[in-house]
Amino acid sequence: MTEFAYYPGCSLRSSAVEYDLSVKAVFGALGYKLHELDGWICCGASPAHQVDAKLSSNLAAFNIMLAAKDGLDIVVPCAACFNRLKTGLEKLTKDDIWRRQVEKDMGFEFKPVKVLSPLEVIAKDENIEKLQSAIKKTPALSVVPYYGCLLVRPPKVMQFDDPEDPVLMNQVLEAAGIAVLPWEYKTECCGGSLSFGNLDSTMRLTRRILNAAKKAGAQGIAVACPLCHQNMDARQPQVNKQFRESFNIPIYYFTELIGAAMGIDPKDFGADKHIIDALKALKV
Amino acid sequence: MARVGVFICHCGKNIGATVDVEKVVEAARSWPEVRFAAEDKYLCSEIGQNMIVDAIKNEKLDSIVVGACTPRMHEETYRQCLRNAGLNPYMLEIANLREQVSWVHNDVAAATAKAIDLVKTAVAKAAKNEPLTAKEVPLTKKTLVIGGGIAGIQAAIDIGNAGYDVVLVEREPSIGGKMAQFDKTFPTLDCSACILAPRMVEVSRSERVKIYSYSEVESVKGFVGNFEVVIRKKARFINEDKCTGCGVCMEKCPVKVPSEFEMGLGERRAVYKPFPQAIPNIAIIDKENCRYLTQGKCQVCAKQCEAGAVDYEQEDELITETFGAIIVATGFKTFDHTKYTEYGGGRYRDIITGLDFERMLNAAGPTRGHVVRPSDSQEPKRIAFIQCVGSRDDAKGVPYCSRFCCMYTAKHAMLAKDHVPGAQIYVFYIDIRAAGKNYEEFVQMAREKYGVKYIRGRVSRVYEEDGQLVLRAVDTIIGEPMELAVDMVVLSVGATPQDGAVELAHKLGISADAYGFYTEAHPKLRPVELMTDGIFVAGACQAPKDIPDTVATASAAAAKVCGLFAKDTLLSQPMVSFIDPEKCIACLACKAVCPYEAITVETVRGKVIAVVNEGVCKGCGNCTAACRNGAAQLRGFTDDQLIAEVDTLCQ
Repeated sequence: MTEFAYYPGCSLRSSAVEYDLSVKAVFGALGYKLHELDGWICCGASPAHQVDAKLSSNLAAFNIMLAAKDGLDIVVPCAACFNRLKTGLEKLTKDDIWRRQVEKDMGFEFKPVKVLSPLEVIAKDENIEKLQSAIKKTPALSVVPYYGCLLVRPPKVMQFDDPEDPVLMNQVLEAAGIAVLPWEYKTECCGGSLSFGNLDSTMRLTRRILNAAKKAGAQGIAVACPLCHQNMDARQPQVNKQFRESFNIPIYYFTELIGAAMGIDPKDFGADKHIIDALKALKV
Repeated sequence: MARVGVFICHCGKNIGATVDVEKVVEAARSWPEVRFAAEDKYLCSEIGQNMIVDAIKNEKLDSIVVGACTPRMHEETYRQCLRNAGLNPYMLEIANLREQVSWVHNDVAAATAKAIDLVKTAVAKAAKNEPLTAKEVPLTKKTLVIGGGIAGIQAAIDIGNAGYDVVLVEREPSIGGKMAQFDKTFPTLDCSACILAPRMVEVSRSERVKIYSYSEVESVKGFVGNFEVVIRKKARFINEDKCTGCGVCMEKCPVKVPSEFEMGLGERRAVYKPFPQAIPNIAIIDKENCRYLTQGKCQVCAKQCEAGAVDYEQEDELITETFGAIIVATGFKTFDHTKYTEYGGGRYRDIITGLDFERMLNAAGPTRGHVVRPSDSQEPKRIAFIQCVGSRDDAKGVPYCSRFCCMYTAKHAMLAKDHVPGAQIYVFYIDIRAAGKNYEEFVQMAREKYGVKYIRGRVSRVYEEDGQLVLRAVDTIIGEPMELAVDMVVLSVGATPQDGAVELAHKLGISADAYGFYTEAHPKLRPVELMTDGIFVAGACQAPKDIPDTVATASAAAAKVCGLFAKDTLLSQPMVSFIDPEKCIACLACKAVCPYEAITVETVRGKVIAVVNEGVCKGCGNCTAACRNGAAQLRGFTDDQLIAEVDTLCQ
């Protein structure tokens, strides 16, 4: 398959625009076409499923049906959207009564499509090879791969990589020539959207991750989720102030790193928009 | 015409409440073959049985129909009634009016009509039944015990003492099983080797027991009383008759590999004895790692051996023997903890299993009894034990409890305190199972006397940080998440079936459950018997169990075997296939479909025909279905008899 439906979700239009631009750049270089879903709506993220399960299912179903109409698998960069849509897909597939209701409301039949993370697409064997040959100049920085929770949990629904010790990000970054360091915080929660409701715990959790990256000797942290990025990048000055730390660790979407290695000017995918300076470390 | 007697049971309210028994009896009386019909509240009782016997004698009945519970309950009971009345015991037909009628239907009218139908069908069959005679089959009073751990050893000793011959087959180079690896045993803290070794010596000295070590069962044919077994005696490359066990070869061998006995914490040579007290006390060459056997170099052991016992040309030997009974005692292995990626997945050297810890505690073990961290040989001052690793865990596909881990962990905790004075010991548990004799007191001793800290809560993650192991857990009694940094973690791994357990089950024709534990004939009342006649089970291969239970089941299985051997012949099951030589044209379709290889080709009075070996035939009926001429018939289930049933039912 050389084309996908593309579901950016709300954050990729705003706080995570770097993720949007870098995913598009990398996929373009790998020869894929991304068709943004026409008329997509918010996936509901955390608030929806905590408040109203039916609303949450409806939001996911609507977006999946849009892609199903064209018969295209959907690429979903944001980890929260990915988690919501994958959960919604499972319900659409297994709950016959629900599916029939959705089909009635939407006016057409559901044809199964896959919900994919850009990480798993890029990690495919044929793309790893393409990646390796597309590398122009690899930035000489070492990073730790931070997967976060939503990509891998709950394991029965997400069925994504190994939920305790995932390796896909390691593989794609190494294929791009980036030095990936081992650490124990691959899937430790950063607090996610709790940063809105319980900032204290989020700050504590985010600080632990930054600390672990520092101890591992990493010069940057690779992420695959807009909210993880926000907590660790946008709130890094806050963490420094609250805990009297002096972290200065740039946080990169893994696609930004691959894009830079491919020779794309980091400013072209918004790496100058980070709060913690991300451009210096990318100088090759 | 047959003189059929019909007896319907109320079974108290079990049948009587849903089936109008009186109506069934009345209907029976109206059928031409039925000379006598009666009912009883409990037909299986002495009164009920006497009624049957009296009726047979008085009314000169020659074929009996019983309408009652499933034949699996009382078929033998009613057969005995017939014998007591002087009738052939196979002139019996049972209509299941309980499990198949009253227990599955509510509507009395419909149930009664169904009951009448079933009884009428049984009467039609009974009218065509023929007397059958069980044959006497010779019995070889020799037992095969598969597995040389404490279960196999105990069973072999008991059967030997009763005066019967035993062959004990053990897969490893030495007998002893898991007990040989343990340090101390709960709840007495007896030294494991000290209580095991006398038994090992006793069984090896017994004149009745022949031990084949480093051997496996290759194939099994036959049936109870006459199992034909091929045993593969694997090549040790050491001549058993010449080796004195002096150990010089081991000292000189240049190849060092991780020792399986020491759980990889210590080494052995390519020529080795698994442990000093090994029985047989004979060396073995590991052909995967021996320099001579893999590369053609060295031969130091052969040069050093004064007895000239090294034989690089030795080959596997196949030995065929006949046994009357088999006891399966193949034991268990510990759960592969690397499946728990949340506990490091095997990456951290300082996270070890309970069995690893046993070797560490053992004074003859790889660390000479010193409890030290494998990573830096430092004494751990803080040790955490995590229970239920590989047990009670749906997510890992092992929902069952392994029964002995709570006890061995309490033991480990106390011994750890003894070995490392002043150490802080933590045990993370879900529940504590200490149901045996003196077991609860043992665990309380760990808590109260030794000050082991028991924390009720699971550990969600363990990772390494700054040279220590950090546990992320929850203390459910105070309701708080917690983090703990310790120097060493011991995982209380559970029990799983042995490697090759299911393959062995196939060879023996016995059943195993979804996990691979062997299925007993009845979970409550027949714990050491299997569904296959003549094969018994003992020890942990049936389900995880501790040493007392293992020894108990071993002696129980031995008693069953002795019971079997108390007679000189066995009665075969007479409902087997019979091929009419007049009708047989030797097309051999029957032979092709027989799963038990019970059919042979013979020439009888100049005619080539297929013949059934009644001793091997299990009465499955495949041949009767395949036979185009109807020459092959199942005694007790002939085409005539079955068609009579179908005809009646279709009326």
